Amino acid sequence: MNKTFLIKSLFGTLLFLAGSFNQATAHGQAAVTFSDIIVPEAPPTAVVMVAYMQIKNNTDQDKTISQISSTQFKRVEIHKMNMANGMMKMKKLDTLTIKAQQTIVLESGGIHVMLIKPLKPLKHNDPVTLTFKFASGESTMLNTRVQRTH
Amino acid sequence: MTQPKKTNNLILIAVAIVSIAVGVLVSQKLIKTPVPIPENLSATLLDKAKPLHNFELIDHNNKPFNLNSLKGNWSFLFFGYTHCPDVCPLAMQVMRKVWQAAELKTAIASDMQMIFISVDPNRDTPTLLKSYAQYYNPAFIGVTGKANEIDNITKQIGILYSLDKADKNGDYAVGHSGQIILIDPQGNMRAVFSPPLNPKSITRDFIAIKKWLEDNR
Repeated sequence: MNKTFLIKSLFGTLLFLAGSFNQATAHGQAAVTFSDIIVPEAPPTAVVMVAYMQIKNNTDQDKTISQISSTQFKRVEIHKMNMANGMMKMKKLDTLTIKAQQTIVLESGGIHVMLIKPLKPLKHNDPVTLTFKFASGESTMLNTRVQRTH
Repeated sequence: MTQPKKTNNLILIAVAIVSIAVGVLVSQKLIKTPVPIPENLSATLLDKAKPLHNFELIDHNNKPFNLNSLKGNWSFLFFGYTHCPDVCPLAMQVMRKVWQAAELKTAIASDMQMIFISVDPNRDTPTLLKSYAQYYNPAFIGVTGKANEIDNITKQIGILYSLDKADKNGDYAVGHSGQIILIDPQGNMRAVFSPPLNPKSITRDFIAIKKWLEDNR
C-alpha cells in the first residue's frame, strides 16, 4: 500500500464524513453520502474547472439537488455531456435527482459539476468548498482539494 | 563443324539459366510482399492515405502553422476549446500519456508532435493556448486561426463542431468531435482514435501503424 493511496483513502474518508447530511436515516446512516470526489487541477489560465463524484441516496425518497454554490467560483452548474450528431455537446441541468436508494456517478463524458470562473486560480492541493442545496430544504457542504492528475 | 554449334547452344542455355536466376533474385528484392495491416487495432486505419491540402493557421507563438508544419513528424491532432471542462482536458491528459509512453522509446517520440487546435478562436488567443497546451507538456502546441481556415482543416479531416448560443452571461459551450487524428510525416491523414480514448491502446496502435507503413515502404 503506497503513501499516495493511504493519503487518498484517509482524505476520501474525511470527505465522506464531511459530505454527508446531518439528517440521518432510521439506521443512523447519512441521508445522502458523497464519495470519490475529484476536482482535477486545470491549466493556470483555465476559466472552468470540474468536479466528479458519486452521490448516494440512502433514503427511501428521491432526493433532488436544486443548487450547487461556492464562494470560490462565479457560478457552479450541473452539466451533462451528450453525443449528438457526431459531436460531444454539453447541456445544463437545472436539477439533479438521485432516486431512492440509488447512487449517481458524476464522471467524465457524463454528468459533471462545472465550476465556472474561479475567483482566484486554484492549483494542486488548494481547498475547494461546495454547498449542495436540496429541493427538500436540506443542504450539505463538501470540502475537498484540487488534485493534479498527472 | 557441328562441335562449335553444340558448344554455342550449351552457352546459350547456361546464359538463359543464369539470367532467369538473376531475374528471380532481383524481382524478389524489388517486389516486396506487402506486409498485412496490423490486427486488433482500436484505431480506425484509413484504407488509403488521405493527403491534406494546405491550411493557414497560427501557433501559440503567433507563427504560421500550415500543412508544412505537419510534415516531417507524426502529428496527433485534437480539436477543442480551452473553456471545455470535461472532454478536452481528458483528451489532453491522454495525449500527455501517449507522449510520455513514446518518450520512453526515444526513437519514436523524436518524430512526434501533439497539437491542440482550437475551434473557438474568439476566446482562445495564442497566449491562452500556449498556457493551456504547455500545461500538459511543454512540447505541446496550441493552434488557432481564422474561422474559415479552421473550417478548412476540420472539413478535410471530418471534424465537426458547433458554437452554442451565448447565455445571459455571455458564456457559451462548443459541441465538437472527440477524436484524436493521426497525420503521417508526409501530411496524410492515416488513422482516427475515437472515444473512449485509451492512452495504452493509442500508443500500441501508433507503434503498430508506424511500423506497418515503414515495412511497406
